Amino acid sequence: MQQKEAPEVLKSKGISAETVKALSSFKGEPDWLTEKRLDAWRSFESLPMPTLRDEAWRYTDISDVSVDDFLPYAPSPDVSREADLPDAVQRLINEGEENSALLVQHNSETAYSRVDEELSRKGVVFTDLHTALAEHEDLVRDRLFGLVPGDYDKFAALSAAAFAGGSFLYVPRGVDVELPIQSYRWLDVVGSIMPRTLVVVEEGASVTYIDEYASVDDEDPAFSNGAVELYVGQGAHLRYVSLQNWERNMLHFNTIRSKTEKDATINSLVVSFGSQLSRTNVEAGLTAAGSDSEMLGLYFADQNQVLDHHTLQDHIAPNAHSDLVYKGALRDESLAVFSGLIRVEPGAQKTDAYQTNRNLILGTDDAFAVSLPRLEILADDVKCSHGSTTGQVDETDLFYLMSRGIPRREAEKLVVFGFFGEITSRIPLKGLKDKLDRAIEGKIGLGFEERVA
Amino acid sequence: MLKIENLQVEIDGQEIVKGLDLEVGKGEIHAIMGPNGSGKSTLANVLMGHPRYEVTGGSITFQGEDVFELEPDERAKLGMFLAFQYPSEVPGVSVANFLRTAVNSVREEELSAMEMYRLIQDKMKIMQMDPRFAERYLNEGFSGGEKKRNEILQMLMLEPTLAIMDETDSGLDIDALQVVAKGVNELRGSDFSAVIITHYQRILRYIEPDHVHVMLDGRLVTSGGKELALDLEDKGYEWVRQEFGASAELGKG
Repeated sequence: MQQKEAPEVLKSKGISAETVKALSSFKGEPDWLTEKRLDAWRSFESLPMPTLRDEAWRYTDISDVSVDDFLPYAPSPDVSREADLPDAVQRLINEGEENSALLVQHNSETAYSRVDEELSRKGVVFTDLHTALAEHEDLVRDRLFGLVPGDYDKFAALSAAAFAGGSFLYVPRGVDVELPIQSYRWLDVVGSIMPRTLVVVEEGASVTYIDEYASVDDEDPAFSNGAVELYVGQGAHLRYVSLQNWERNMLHFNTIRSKTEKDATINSLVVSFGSQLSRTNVEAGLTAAGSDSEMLGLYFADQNQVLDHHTLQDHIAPNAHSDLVYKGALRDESLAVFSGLIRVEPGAQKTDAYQTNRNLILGTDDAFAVSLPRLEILADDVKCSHGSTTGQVDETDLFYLMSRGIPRREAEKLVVFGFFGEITSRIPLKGLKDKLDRAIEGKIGLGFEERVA
Repeated sequence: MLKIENLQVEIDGQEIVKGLDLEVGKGEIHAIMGPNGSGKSTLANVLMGHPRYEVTGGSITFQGEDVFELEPDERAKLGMFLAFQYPSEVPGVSVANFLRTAVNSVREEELSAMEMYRLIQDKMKIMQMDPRFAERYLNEGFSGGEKKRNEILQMLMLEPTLAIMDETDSGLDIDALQVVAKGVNELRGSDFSAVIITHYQRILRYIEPDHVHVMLDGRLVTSGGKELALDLEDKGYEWVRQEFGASAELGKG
């Protein structure tokens, strides 16, 4: 497929209504979508940039962030074979999970995608959002922006107005997809990348889907802004993984929201390793009885990184269950923010909801972990609990391990891997686990006393 | 093989060990008895290199090496072992994984998975431990007795030439005490020395010491054979205080 030349307005920094219109027209989108994009653009313009005075942004300073600093769109070479993808992307693919479908978004465009024939035969659709809009408009129309609407917040508004590329996954009723389906988002220019993910798992179907973010480092900052919408039908099962491993020049904003129907299950894992600053909202809407949401989070902040997670377990229907565990390690002068809310609506009796956040600080007094677990319970027959701890790696614990002949670095590693084990042991994906282990090992680097180079 | 000369140790600026001498030969079992607060546990921790204690004077050599020059892991590789009074809990690290890492580190070679498995199972049998124990997280949620058994299990795995046992008997019922003693006696021989630190003489019925020392106010005030332990049992630490308290105050030389 030969890519068209992008309109001129997409080649200059910043975004305007003109940019949004040009992008929509460039993609040949239906009028309803152009209108929605423009609505979202108006929301973006009317919403103020969040500041430290906003409750939800009290610790994460984005006063330096301006969309005007970034190119809104960057083309990518279209390749027909996996072997023609950039070497670094091929390496990501090879080190990743064995998969049954794969999509690579390179900058603002989809560079490559592949779906196993067997999946296509079963009616599974996996493509970028623009192709989905052209070929499956009926499946996309009511759901796109349904969970992360264009007026949700400043960054969601920008996503709705200016998204490009993205992934659409549709698993029909009763279809069990055994091998994971994988999206890679790859940026190798100084610019922006604004993918969206839309996953629809129909009644009784099951699938594992992974979004992975990686890039080429640069002196100048680059910008990532995404939205993820996950629909899990009655009795269906979705395992969703977001693995954010950007280089350090990136600013990353993402909102992940899910909706589970009766007896549906979602397991989410949100991993944040990379970027200079990363803000991820993860919200599970338990909208029907018997639905179940496991929410796992793993982050490791070093140097002067800022990694911010805001979570919501939104219990609307009765008899639903949610269990959240977010664990993070911090070193050097990093900052990690966790703010989590369990909200139980008046009708949501027999809710079972748990929330845990734990932070481990490695050999420094300069890293800072903010942990804000909250409950808001409006029903009276519920089981809810939350807990939060932040602590240094104990020198006495290290001494204990070292006294058994284990060198300091190995002892530190044992403690950190042990700490994250509560999360990684709950993920049934070997390739992903190995990837996480390697990334954690890299972060531990030469030990707690040495800075990561 | 172990020689401590005029050892002085402080913690948070307070002197705890005030000039202690001890020599432990190959194959010897020494018991150090003393009341609470006499500095016994400080001695044990300093021998292994606990970072919280500050050595302000004296020397410790083990196998001819100055142990103050060695990190705790290097001391372990040289053959030292400390059975902790209060072992750390390390969540997420299984006993099996920990033992594997420790044994491979001390031996500086990788045992095969099968060899390691057999070794762990063999030693656990001696300690009368359920095989499933190996899958539990290190000391997490262990009872006091399980923790102590786990310490001795580690000792059997690492086969040290010098074991320091810090109040390993405290809080154990008689059955557990016998199992622990069995573990220690398993290693007993011409290549194994031990320093058994205890408040009570009870454990010494099961692990017979060659020498007994009494520690008071940061010094060893008297030494003897195993009969000294029985004397102590009869007369109590008040007797030691009356007999040796004054000389302890005066210091030695």
